[in-house]
Amino acid sequence: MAVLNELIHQPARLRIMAVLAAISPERQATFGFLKATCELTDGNLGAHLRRLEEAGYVTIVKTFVRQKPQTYVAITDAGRAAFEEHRVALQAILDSA
Amino acid sequence: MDISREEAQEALGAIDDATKTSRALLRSWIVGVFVVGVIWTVSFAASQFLPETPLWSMSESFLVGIAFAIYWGRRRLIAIRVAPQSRLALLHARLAVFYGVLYLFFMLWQIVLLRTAMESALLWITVIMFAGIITGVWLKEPVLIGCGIAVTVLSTLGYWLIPNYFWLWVAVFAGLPLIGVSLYLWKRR
Repeated sequence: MAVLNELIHQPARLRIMAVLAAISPERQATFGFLKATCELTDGNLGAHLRRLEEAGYVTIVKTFVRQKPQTYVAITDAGRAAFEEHRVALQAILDSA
Repeated sequence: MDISREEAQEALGAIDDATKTSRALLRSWIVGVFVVGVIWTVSFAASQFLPETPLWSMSESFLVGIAFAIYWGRRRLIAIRVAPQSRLALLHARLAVFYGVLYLFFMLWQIVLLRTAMESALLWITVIMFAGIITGVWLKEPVLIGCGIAVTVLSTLGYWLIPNYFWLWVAVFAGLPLIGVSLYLWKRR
């Protein structure tokens, strides 16, 4: 039986995980794209990403593109599984009512 | 943790909203297929009734394709990238090389072999469909393979069997299928 995930359920982290889960495992989203799509500030997004990274749900890659720092974020297999379980648990609540 | 039904519904709604942007970005390449389909349909049909200008459809669809590829590539790169060294990155690199080499061969054939506008148009259509079939094989998209084969066969049949109505024929059997495939792919994802 699917169980709700308290870490993922936080509204901002839920949006972050939803955006990342929608792209394929071999793709990475830029920090700027996540910030714009999830409507978060730099600090806010950074804090949530650190929590998700500590849980093993995302990986963060910092690199340089044309001499400018760029951060890419990807969901891990564990993160994808945890997000899917959370989504299934949410749906189960709706279906059971 | 316990949450109410309303909270669960709100969370699922937030998930749907958040994924829409990602999904739209990933399938935005389909817009290019749609635009080329519209150009082919309109310009090939116009060529049937304005025979003095039969080649501009190919030039325009090529320019639109290049412009769209540049625009889409830049828009994608600032949002999502393919993980370096991944299988998908290798596949994209192979596709890029393939398209480049294929276009060079098309230009060579165009210069060396062809004499008429119809020959050029048929070659252009079949080259694009060949690229579509190979792309469909590599990306495991059966609809691209099916469309490529069908359009190639039908266009060639029109060239041989009804040359007087060739332009109208390919407007219907080359242009419209691209529009149909793009709409199908857009709705499917």
